[in-house]
Amino acid sequence: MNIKDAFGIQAAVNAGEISAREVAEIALKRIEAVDGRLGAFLTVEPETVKARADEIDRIVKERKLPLAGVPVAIKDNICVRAMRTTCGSRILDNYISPYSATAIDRLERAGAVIIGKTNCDEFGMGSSTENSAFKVTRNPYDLERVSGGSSGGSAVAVAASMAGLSLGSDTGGSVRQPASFCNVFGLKPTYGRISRYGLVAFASSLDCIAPIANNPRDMALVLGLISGRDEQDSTSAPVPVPDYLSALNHAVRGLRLGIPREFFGEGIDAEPLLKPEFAMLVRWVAN
Amino acid sequence: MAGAAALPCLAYAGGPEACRPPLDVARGDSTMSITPEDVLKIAELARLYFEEEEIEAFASQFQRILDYVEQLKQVDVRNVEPTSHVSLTADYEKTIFREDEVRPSLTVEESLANAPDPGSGHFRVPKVL
Repeated sequence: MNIKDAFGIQAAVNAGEISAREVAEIALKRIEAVDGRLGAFLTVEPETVKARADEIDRIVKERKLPLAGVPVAIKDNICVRAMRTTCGSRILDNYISPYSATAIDRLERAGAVIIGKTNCDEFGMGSSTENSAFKVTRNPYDLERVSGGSSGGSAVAVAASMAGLSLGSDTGGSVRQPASFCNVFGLKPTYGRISRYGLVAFASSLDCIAPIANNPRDMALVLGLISGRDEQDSTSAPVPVPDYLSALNHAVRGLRLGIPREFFGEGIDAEPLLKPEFAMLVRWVAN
Repeated sequence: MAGAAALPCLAYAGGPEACRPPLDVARGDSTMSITPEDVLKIAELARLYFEEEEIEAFASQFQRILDYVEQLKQVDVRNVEPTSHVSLTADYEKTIFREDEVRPSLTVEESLANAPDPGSGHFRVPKVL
């Protein structure tokens, strides 16, 4: 079982090759072994996780679930019912969420196991996950370096094999940037694609719940399951959700790659982008 | 020298002055110019203290931000329909309103579960008046 393959986990659990309980115990052991040094998680409740995994094992005997047994880590500014939601702040140290975000309901309906809540810059305001009131989240590739932020805990949870997938939130780069720092995939969807109901607001007209995964297939899988109109968020887009998984088979040829002109605008230090390595990368992607 | 007497926030006394906007937005100039007094006024409202030389620096930074926003005036919007939100679509009204019907919601106990001092079905807070 490879925890870096959420698609493979659900396939194996649905096929009865491994139980959700076994997957959950592997993830919990991994957290126990490495998170003392990384600091990705703020809350992990092993008994709740195991009970939830057992429930999945009972359901998959009856019917298949698209995320059966996949351990998913959740940024601590997204509400999960009956769990702490601190937003990385002492102000909410003892706040227990009385309801779940729509994205969480959809994950759980799909068979995901919420493995724990992850560290972030306080209320999402930061870019390094050093500004949590609780602890610093370190980069698994080099403990002396930052994980990026504000969704650093969610990026590290996936990068260090403590979860198969995670959710963060992106207002101005808070998922794209830590995912990049931690060598995982982070996707900021179009505003309104994923319901914000149950996401603690930072800047409401910009906030997006955004998934983090180890590969594009896992990203397509989770995005398709949590996207779509939600009556609880009037800004969620009434736009049909495409089948992202089948889109993976389309050719890349003909796609357009955009480089924002603003990267080179006045007041921006464009020096790193003018390096030959960047031009080489652009040519490589274009070819 | 950060002497206490120089702290605008400590000198702050509130009153009608506090209700006036920090910049005279009714001034009507096509390009607003930021004075050190404007910076001091905003600092006072934000309860911040700056050194003399910082005030000059902030005044010019404020000015650059306003000049940047000024550029928007160059856009011809005479034939553009006003939009208040990016996600609004043609069938907006159909999608954001729902029937006014009673639905399951949090119980009183659930609503009060996080309250530090709940009492007889209410949030109890310190008396302020």
